[in-house]
Amino acid sequence: MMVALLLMVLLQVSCKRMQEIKFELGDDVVETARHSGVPKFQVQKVSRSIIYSVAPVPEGIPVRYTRPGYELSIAPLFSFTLYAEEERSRKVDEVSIIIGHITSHEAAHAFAEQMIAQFQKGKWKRHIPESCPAVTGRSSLLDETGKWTGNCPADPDYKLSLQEWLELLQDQNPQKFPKWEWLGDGIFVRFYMWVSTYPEYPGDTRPSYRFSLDFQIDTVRKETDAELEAHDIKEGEIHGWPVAARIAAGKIETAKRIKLLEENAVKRGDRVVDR
Amino acid sequence: MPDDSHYDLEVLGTCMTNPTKGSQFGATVECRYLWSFAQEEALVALSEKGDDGCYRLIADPERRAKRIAARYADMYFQSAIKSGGKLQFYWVAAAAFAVKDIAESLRYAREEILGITQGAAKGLASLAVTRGDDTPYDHTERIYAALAKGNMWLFMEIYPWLWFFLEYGFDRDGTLKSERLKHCVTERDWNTLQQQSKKAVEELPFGPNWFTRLEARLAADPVYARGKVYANMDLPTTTESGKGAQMAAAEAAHEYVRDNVKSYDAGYRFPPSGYWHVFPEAYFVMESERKELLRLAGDSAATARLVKVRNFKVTGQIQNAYDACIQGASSVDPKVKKECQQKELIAILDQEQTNVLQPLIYEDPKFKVTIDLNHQASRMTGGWLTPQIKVIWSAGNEVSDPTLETIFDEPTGLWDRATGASQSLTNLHDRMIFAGKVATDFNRLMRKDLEYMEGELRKIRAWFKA
Repeated sequence: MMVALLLMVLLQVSCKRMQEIKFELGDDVVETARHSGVPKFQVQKVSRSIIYSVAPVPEGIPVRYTRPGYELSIAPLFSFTLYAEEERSRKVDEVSIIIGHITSHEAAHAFAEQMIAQFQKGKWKRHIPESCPAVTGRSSLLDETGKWTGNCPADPDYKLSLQEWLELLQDQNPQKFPKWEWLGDGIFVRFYMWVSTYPEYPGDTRPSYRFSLDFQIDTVRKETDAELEAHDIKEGEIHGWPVAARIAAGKIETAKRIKLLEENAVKRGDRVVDR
Repeated sequence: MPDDSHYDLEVLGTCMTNPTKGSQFGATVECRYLWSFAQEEALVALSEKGDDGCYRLIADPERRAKRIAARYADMYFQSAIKSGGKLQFYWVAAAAFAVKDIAESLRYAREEILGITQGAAKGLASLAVTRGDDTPYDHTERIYAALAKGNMWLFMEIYPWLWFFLEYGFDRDGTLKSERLKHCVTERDWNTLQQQSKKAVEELPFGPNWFTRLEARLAADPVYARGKVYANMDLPTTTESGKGAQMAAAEAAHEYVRDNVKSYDAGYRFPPSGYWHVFPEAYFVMESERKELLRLAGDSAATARLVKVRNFKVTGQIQNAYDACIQGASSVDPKVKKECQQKELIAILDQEQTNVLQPLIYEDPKFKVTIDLNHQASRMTGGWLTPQIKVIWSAGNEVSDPTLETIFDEPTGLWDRATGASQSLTNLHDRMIFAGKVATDFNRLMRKDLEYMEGELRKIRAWFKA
């Protein structure tokens, strides 16, 4: 009986340890995990990657990004994952956070608004990919024909109304799901989502939102993109596909598209901004 | 004549051969005929050609699972080749790993539970795996049948969508035929398939026709009938409880079933009869098999749901996936292509979970009880008692080598482990959020360890003729 009681106490102590999760990128993954506040990670190693993850995160535990000037507090959580590479001295180069159950369009809209507001309050700078137009407002979410698209990150200064939110998400077309990107002190962040609705799911027709925040060291992200492009070119050479020529043609096509989108934005009353 | 390891069904018709050398004919082929070819490809993938020239569905769900995993892995590579590098399907790569794990789950259920005595299984699982009237064998037969059903029908539903895109979406010079794809995607319909393909689909396991035949077979099962006689034998007892006599009678029944089960299979046994010779309590397995299959046969609501899925009509998710693939294949910007892969992954994941697996297996309340108990047991014991629900990102099935898994509802500590499961795989919301985690891990590995992942996919592809 004593042993059982002792075990119960120990178990409860271990439970009480997690109050919040804290993280940073760029430090040793073991140290980052140790100081995160998570009592137990699932640890795996595959090929070059080292992965520390916890899922599901117990209810009520937020995660905090602690870099001064860039602080974020994120909840409710479903999962929290640290990624590192042996070849990069086991430093955390990516953190992935998946948000817990959000099962109404209204709650999802409110969650996105408060998340974006936190970025806007800190020193984060909007990130505009080279393949996207540097436009403000609603134009950041429109394609060449003026239809909604999620191809490029949205302007975080533009507040989507609930009506617009529903237009983008209600028909659960991934082509239209919005996303936002920021850069801050060498860290790249992407905030994105997907949603499913279940019109025929018995007794529960609520939409199911899965929001994610991916944090990456920007230099590592760019190196990985370059590696992937090199891989594609190599595959093209092996099979005789003109991948390198396509990439070059793509740059010209993208420049034309960006010009058109920026002109359209100005006509609409939005602005073209510096990258 | 079919042997006992195959279903007796013909999946291909016969064609006339044109004997005139070099002759050419112009013909407009309607989408519905192309869809017949696509469906036939899925059927043939899981079939073997007999001496009579007819293809017959492989009856063993484990072999089917291996072939399905291989087909998905192959499609990952073929999509790049057939499109001249303009497109590479993405969901199929993740699915190849997941289905490889289903093959392992089927093997585990057969070898590790049905392959030990029920007493040992109960002893192991006394806390979690037995409840109510269901024995460990009952639960195992339920999982085995559900995995066999969900895996095969998902393949019949999804694979033709993707095969069609590759086969008819590109001209020989690699030009994308987006208008044809957009038009034809709405035309898939089981009702308008070529007669033989339609009939072959209609006769597949777990469909109404198959259940009718199954019920008749179970009613006339001579092996079960004889085994039952052995099990109920009134042997002289030397103990007050009569337990020794009961055990002797049961042992006689098990032995009889082991020796004779192959004589009455024809592809309707779960697991296939070729595996039964090592079952220590084969008669009890047969009782559980019978109980579960009769339950499934009597579940008219479940069969109606399957019939609806079997219509193979286009959904919003499939149209979204087609849009994403068309956009990806049309663009010359590699970043746009990668974005489109993400959209394709999400759309098909949604189709898989919401429109196919949910109605096919997860809406079954008995399956929910079984899968929740299984999850609870695995969670409490860290997978020692029964495997965790997870995706292992390698071509192997064991975790003796350090490898990556994405585990469903992993405990966060000892207390959490002891207090039980917080999520249910049968709950669509829980499952979809887990799917998000699977997608995130998959993305990371495909970005950072592409060479490794493609190497593993090549190994899985080797099961093409499993």
